[in-house]
Amino acid sequence: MRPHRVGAAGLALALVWAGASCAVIPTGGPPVSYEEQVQGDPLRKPYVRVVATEPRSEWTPQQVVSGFLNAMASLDDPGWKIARKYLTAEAARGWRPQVGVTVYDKGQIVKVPLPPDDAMETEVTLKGAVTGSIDGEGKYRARSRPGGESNLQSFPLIKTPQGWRITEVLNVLLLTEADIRRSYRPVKLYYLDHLQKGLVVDEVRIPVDPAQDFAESMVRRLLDGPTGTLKDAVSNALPAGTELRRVFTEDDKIIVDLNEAAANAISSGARGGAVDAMAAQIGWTLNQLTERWEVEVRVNGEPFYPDGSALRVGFDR
Amino acid sequence: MQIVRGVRRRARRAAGRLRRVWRRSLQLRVVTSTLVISVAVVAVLGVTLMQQFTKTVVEGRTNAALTEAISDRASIVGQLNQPPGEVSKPSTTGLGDPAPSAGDSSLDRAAIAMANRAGEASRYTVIIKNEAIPGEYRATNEIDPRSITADLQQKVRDGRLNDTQSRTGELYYFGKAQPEPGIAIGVKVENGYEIYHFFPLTEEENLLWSVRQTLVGVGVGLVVLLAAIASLVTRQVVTPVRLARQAAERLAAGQLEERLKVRGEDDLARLATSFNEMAANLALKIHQLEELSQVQRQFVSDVSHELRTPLTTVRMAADLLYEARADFDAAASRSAELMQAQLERFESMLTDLLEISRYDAGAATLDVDSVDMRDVVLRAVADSEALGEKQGARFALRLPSEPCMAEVDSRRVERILRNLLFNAIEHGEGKEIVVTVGADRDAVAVAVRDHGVGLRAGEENLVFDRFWRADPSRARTIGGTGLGLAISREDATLHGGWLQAWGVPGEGTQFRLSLPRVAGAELKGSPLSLVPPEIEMRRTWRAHITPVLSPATGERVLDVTREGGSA
Repeated sequence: MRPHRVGAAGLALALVWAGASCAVIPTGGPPVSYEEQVQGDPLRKPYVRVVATEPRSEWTPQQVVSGFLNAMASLDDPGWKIARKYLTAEAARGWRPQVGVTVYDKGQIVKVPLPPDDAMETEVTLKGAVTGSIDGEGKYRARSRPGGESNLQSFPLIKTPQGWRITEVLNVLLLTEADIRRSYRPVKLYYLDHLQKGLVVDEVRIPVDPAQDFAESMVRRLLDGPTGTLKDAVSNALPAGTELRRVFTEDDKIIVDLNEAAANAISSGARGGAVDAMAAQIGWTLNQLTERWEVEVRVNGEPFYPDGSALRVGFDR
Repeated sequence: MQIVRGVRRRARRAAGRLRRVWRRSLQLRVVTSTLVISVAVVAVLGVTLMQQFTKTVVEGRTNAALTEAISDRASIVGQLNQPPGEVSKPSTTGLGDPAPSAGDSSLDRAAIAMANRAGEASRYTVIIKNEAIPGEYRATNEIDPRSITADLQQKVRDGRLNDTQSRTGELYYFGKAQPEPGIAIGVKVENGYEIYHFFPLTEEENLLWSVRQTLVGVGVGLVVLLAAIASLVTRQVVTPVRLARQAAERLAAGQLEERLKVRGEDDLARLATSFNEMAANLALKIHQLEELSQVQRQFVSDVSHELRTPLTTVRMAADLLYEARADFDAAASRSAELMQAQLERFESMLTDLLEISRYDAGAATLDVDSVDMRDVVLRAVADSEALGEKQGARFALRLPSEPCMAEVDSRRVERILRNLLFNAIEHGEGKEIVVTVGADRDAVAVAVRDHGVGLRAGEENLVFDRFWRADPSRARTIGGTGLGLAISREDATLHGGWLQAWGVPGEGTQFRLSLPRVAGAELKGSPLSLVPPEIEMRRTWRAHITPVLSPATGERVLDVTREGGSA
């Protein structure tokens, strides 16, 4: 038995050695041509986020307000849970920031001497110039005549055991131009004109949500329909009830996976016009992300048409 | 409860079977040990290889990441120190890469520069924060601040300025439920800013996973291969050994012509050759011994026969002398009496010798008849009564009331009983001799008990040897031939029965004859106990009262020289 076992161990060593020698990178060989592929993933553009920080008990009233302004700009938590921590419990309950956004520039917290140690309430004023607003639908309206610098908002604060807290705040998000540039990307949504012949642009601002790809945010916003200003003038070829399942890339294509309601487009409209219109809407909207990629629409992960053929919106490459 | 017991019994039986197979199969043991050893070797080897590989890969990636993070740090510090509003590059693209613009803070610009440097492939993500200034907290892409572990944060804070700390751990991302493995690198720079870089190790993990799959596959294959090789090689060795074992078994069973096939010239072939030589020598020796014993038996038989004729003549002459002894003087008359007695003994000895040589030649046959054992016993006792009276011995008979029928050769059984009684009279020292008859469904038994000096330990079987005596110096008093018990045992064996002896010094002796009721049936037990019941009772009683005094050893210590042994 012994010589046999020694032989077996030798065999094992030889196998391992052979395996190890295979792993060494070959240094010879002819040149191999490389077929250029589309670089990177257009759905994953880099971006910068503000991360909200919780208030600290030792902060001065000015620092609390400054932290609150930053927390409002953070899109990490959809319910502004951290921003609410800057408010008193009562104010936090009543705050409805989803109503809209007021955009200002040259923001500055008015410097006042620190309140005395035994002060229980104080007020901090934010100065700045309002430059525009974004309504609940994402429509950006620039202030036609930019106003001068003025007091934007006064924040009354009281002292609590946890530090200074804001007692009263407007139901609106106060964001700077820089915040808007960073977190609210302007997107053109494409809808059909009343003749169903051409596409009309509806420009909105879409917040960059780190929990989903921006392309998904775009398609979801497209599905929500046009904004109030265009509502009566344009129509949406995407059938009612359509929902987005996922947007992802596959073989240099952007795949838009919709739910089964999207297939209703085949039967509506004349000569499949609705399908073409729907594809054009999605294609042109996503075209803003990348000009070189093809877009394919699928239903529940399957090709769009029941016979198995795909619905593609091509762009010249 | 019963089911549980049944299951347990079955499990025990299965375990027993398994153990038996394990103990009997050399091949199984060799294959198992090869399997265990090779599994251990392959496991150690695989784990070592895998660790080495993982270390190399992760180290390489960490070094690359550190280089990148350190070069980033310089650029971030430069951006942070630049006053805001000095960027000339205008914002161009709407949805493309984020571009710095005039209104951005220096922190924003630094973060944007990092986001762009990491590129579209999102090779890594960055968090820049300053806990001293409210709102100075930026992250790129989807990195979740949970990825900064407490220990890393603590180390960065406690560390010196520009001291880079790295840690492999789990990275959390928004939009992904599961954390991913990655490297987190943190550094503290001027003005209380902390910079964290996060490099995912997803690709490295995939690589290592596929390597591990390959290693596991190779390992399993190797182990199976080794087991197969061990099995094959063991088979080559075990098969001839198994053949040799079977041959040896047949040889032991008496098939002396059994031989092994010799193939080749290796160790196993030599083993077979030696085995065959041994078998041949053994057969030769046995044959020679058989011949020798045949010659001896024939000689004994012939001598006995040849002695008969002159003995008859001598006997007739002696008879004449014996009858005319009244006319001789006292000395001559005494001589004639002595001669007569010794001639009688010589004659019976010759008869016994002839009888025993008939057994040795295998010529003895049974003349079976259904008889009542009580009658046989009574006849034998009646024959011995005269002698018993002369020695002063009394007989006590314990016979059952109902008949004890058995298929036996009554002549031989009577001879056995006569021999036993004769022996009891000779060694019974004139004390009572008890004859007991017992019967059950399958067997009958006769026990003859004397109260003489008894037997020493180990003599229970010697008494049946031919011409055996306990004390060789002692003469036979009442003229036993020395062959009686030997013949009796042969007779009992011929019936398929037993003849056994029990004896303790000072307590006397008991012989028990057990015979099957039906001729040819196998005897399974005896209706009577070999040890007399009263001795058995006393023994248990004594053992019960004083367990320290072992009766057996005590009796051996009390041993006195027993004179004589067999008839």
